[in-house]
Amino acid sequence: MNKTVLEFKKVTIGLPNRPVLRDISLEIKAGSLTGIYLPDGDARWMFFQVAAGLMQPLSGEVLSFVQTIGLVPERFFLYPDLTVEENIQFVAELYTVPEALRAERIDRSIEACYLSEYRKQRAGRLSFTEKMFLQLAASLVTESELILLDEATREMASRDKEQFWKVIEGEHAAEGTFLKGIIFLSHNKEEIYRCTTQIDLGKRFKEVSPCS
Amino acid sequence: MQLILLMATKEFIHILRDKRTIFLLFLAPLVTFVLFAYMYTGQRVTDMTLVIVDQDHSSLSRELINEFGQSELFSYQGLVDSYEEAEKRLQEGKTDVAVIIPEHFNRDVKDGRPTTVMTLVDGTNMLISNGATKGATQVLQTLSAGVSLRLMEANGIVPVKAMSILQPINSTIRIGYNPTYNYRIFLLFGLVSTVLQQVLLTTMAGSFCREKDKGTNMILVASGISANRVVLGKIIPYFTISLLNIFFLILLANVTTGIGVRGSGLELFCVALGFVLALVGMASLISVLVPDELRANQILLLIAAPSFLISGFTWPLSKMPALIVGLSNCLPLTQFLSAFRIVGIKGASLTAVPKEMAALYGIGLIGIMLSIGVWKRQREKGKLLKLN
Repeated sequence: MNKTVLEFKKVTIGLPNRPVLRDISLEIKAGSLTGIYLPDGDARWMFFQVAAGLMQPLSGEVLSFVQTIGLVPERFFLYPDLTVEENIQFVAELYTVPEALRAERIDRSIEACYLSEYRKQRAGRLSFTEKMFLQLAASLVTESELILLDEATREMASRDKEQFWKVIEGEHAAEGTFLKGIIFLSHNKEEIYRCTTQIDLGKRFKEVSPCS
Repeated sequence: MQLILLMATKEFIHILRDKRTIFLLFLAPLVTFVLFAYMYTGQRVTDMTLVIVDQDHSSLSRELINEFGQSELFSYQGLVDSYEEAEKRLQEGKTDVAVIIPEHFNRDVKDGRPTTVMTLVDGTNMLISNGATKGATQVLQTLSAGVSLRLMEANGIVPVKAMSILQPINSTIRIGYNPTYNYRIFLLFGLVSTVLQQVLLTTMAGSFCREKDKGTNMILVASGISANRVVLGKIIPYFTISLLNIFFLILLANVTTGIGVRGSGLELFCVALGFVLALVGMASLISVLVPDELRANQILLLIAAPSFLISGFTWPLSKMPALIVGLSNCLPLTQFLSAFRIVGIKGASLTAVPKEMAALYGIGLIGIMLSIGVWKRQREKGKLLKLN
């Protein structure tokens, strides 16, 4: 059960002449819900992209042992002019979810994320909470093995936040079916403590040793 | 293939849900077509305003006035008193043409002394001055021939003989494809194609950079979809819509304005296909290269605005400096209009336009391949995503 899902080896992140995070080494174990504390917004966003494999680190190595990574960044990245259903359908097809499984998985992820009543609504008209849920649903439809969240609850009202956490914790509890790990990036220590594992990258120019 | 179709469907939805894009793609070409077709209803310049200064007041001068009055090219406004007044009217734009009949006009003609009728033409509008020059010359020649004929008859030469002395050489000019110098036939397709180009470039220019701007590139990058699928998928909708547009407009032109399109359907299709391909290739490359929509539109404006002027429509390419000809040849519009005139209007076969076809398909394919290459490279360098 303690296999590694994602590993950072002496990774430095930033723009070519402006590194923001230096020499990070950490390991994300399978079956974990890891909270990573990082108060600086730019650094967090870059860490998110590097962890997702969208951006190359300046130095060091990022080893990913998963096939697909689901993304739930604070900044909505799906298509505002497509409806909830069309967005999820698009992601499912883009990740070549087999046609036989598609319809059922789309239904399941929409339901799991409380989006049933917004199914035909355009994503651009959704509230922040619903947008985050939509991104989460897109991660579920592709059966991502790792889900990366960046400040996903920042603008949520406390009731929405609870609901969102309930889904995340639910998915965490169901880990093993396809999900192997969740990483929750935030500047909010309170929410970091809700995770089963915590990593503090707040002292950003120091080497951070892996937590367990 | 499925992923290309997926991208194409998504792009189609973007187009259909954006009112501005829809309007530009479908309505703008139609609106300009109707506008220009209507504008050139006259089809050629007639009814140029004309005044005459009659300093002779003789039977011959009245005959000349009568001839001018009957010409459909001129709209006779009446007599004015002096040369100065005629000139003033021209200067103030009240009159296009003024004819000055000199003193002793009738007497000089009868006595066989050379005499000159002067025509003043406002040269600031070349369409009018060309027409006026031609019209005035025609009227004066007719009168002159008539007078000569009468003089010879008076001197005892039989009419047949007189005719052959007057016109030893007969000339016949047959003007092909646009015999009446119809302005509509000449310009309409040039203008409409320009609009079509502009519309496609503006709407498509945003398609790649918008994804970058809005951050939606993330899902494309994360999913690992290949660059050629993204580019081809995004191109398909614009390509299809523009092709439909062109055919609709050609058909419309044929039915409503009677502009003859003689070319064979298949060959015309190949020309139009090349044009659309070239436009799409150019637009996608620009869209991939620029950081945002605003910049894309600025660059396109630089291309689109002069492209009609240097496309060979307003001034023949063969009379332009080499540098501009080179520039003009790189533009899809130039090549398309040249090929369209030969294949579409004149009805020649495709073998007559190998250079144009090669250029159109070349620009298109190179543009698309470069777009794919650039997109791929940007992904590798992480430039498709915003960093802050």
